[in-house]
Amino acid sequence: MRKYVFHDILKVLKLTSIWQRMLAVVITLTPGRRNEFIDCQKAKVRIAVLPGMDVKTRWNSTLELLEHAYRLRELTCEWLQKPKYAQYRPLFTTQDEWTIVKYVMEVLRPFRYWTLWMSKRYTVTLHHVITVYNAMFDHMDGVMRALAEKKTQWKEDLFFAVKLARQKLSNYYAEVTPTTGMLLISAQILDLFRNLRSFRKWDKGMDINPEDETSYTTQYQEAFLKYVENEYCAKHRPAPVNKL
Amino acid sequence: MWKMNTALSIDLRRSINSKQYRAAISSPSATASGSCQSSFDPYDLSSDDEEYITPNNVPETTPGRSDHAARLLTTARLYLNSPPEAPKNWGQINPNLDNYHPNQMEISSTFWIPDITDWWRQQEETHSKYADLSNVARDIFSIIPHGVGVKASFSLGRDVIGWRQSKTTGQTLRKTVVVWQFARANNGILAGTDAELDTPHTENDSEMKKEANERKLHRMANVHNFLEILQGSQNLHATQKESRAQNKQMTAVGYILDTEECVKASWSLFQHDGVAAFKLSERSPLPPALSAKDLPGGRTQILNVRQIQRINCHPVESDDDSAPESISDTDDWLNWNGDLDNPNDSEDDCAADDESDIGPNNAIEDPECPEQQDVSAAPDLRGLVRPTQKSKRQAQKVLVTVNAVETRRNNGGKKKQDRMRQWFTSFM
Repeated sequence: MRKYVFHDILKVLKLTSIWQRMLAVVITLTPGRRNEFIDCQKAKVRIAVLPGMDVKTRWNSTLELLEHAYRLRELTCEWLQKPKYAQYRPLFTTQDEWTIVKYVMEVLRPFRYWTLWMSKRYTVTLHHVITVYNAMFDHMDGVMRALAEKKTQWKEDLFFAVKLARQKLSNYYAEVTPTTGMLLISAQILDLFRNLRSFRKWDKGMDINPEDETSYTTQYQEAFLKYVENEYCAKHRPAPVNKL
Repeated sequence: MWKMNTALSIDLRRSINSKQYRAAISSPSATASGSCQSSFDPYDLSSDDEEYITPNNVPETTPGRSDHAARLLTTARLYLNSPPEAPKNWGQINPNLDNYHPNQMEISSTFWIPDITDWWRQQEETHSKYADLSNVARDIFSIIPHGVGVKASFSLGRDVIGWRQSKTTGQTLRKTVVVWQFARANNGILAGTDAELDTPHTENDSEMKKEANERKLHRMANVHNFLEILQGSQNLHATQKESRAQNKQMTAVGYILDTEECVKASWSLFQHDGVAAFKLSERSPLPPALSAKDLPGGRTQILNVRQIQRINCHPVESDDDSAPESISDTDDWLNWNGDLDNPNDSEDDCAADDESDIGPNNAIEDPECPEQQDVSAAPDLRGLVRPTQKSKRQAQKVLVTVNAVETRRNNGGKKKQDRMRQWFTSFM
């Protein structure tokens, strides 16, 4: 079973989560087991913790569960080494599987970072959307470059998974066009610290002259002016003047 | 994710254009005109702008309006051609409290910038060169892409499909979610763009909401009534409990014994007239005297039994002469209903009647109930078979025979006697 599971990264993640939850149940089943698990943490950690069966189901909950289990892996291993708990040893995740989990966590962490970053802001964030997109794309490209040459089965699976995720993100980002994503473009332009500089960088990265009509800079600039003209100049109604 | 945000933003933008935008645009100068403290015209409007006071008379193009539009476009071009501001002049705020990466500067260095809305607000307040463009910035930056609604849209799937619903296809789920979103965007109404068709829907919906509210209030009122009833029953229960405790105390003292009040009223006491029955009960639950003369109609007779011995306990005394000695003088009145017309029957008959009537009643054996009043009567019902005098004599003979046989057997087996007694009773 393990051999089969080892080549399927999704099953590794799924079964790791299941096994860790089962271990959490087993460890916290009786007060004696709980105390023994806490005793394993003495002189190793400042605050002893117990394995959690679940985390709050929301964004990045899978990552948090994996991180929690990964932090306690050594303590769990020590607890399982006791002879009376030998029957639960099949529940422990092997070192190879922990490696897979670690890779997956590395892939998922930036998404948690950006979601938390975006949701914790007290100021406007619309002008950061495109930049967050780009940061995610850069992260995925970096992961794909790192995994492109790998021949291990689970790494190939991970590469394929990241590739699909990038494709999905590209589909979303494809909507950021002068027609449909005008608000994002306008917000990016109205960011006084960027203005058109970001678009010029894109053109420069693609060896396109920013003054050309096909460049990002020219297209988005014209789109912004057209947007202002249509939405504000044509519909704008100046306020009445008090002649008194 | 951002695809949905974009669509949502466009919708918001439309709503802003239609309603909020006009109010927002007109607010600064309206304040100025209201206060009458400033004669400064930020838009440099000419006297032709008088007609803008009446919104309905706004022409398509006016000199002032075209001037403002041209000036806005000029400002936009000026802003686009200007170099970006330097963040150093604004100071930096480190928003990265979530340390996920050892080198955060690589990713998030561009985000360490101050709130740009302050800059645009200053542009508007100081009437600088980008003041006209500040309205555009205010409208666009008011869209929040990280709102709760955006995040909640990712949980719609679980809202539609529960954990026990696993056969719904993705296509169906998508359609359902789209309908939900559309209904939510239209204030819970699945309305289209046709105003004529939308109006009745809205009215019906409001009526349905009113009805739902009324039902809810009615339910709450019922609950309130129920609570009152519950409270009343609890109070009654508490009162009964207290009175029961008092009765127990009185019983313990010896004033009243519950068993002494064990009274069985005759059916003849009950009348069809409820009021009369109550009057009768108010007078006395029992006939006032234990005399046959005082009984109403002479049909109901009272037996005052001081001590009744069980037949089984004294099988020897069940002969003809074994009429219960302990029975008081009133035992003569104990008769079957069919014999009430002739209360002066012989003692044998009365004795037989006593045994047949009292025998099966085990409650009489209660030693704590030495004196018991019994009203022996049967309801006057149609089709009721009443034992006649002849049958009673036959039964008496059978009983005598049985007792004689059992006497010969020297009291052999009480169970058998009981069985025989039961058979005899059933025979009667």
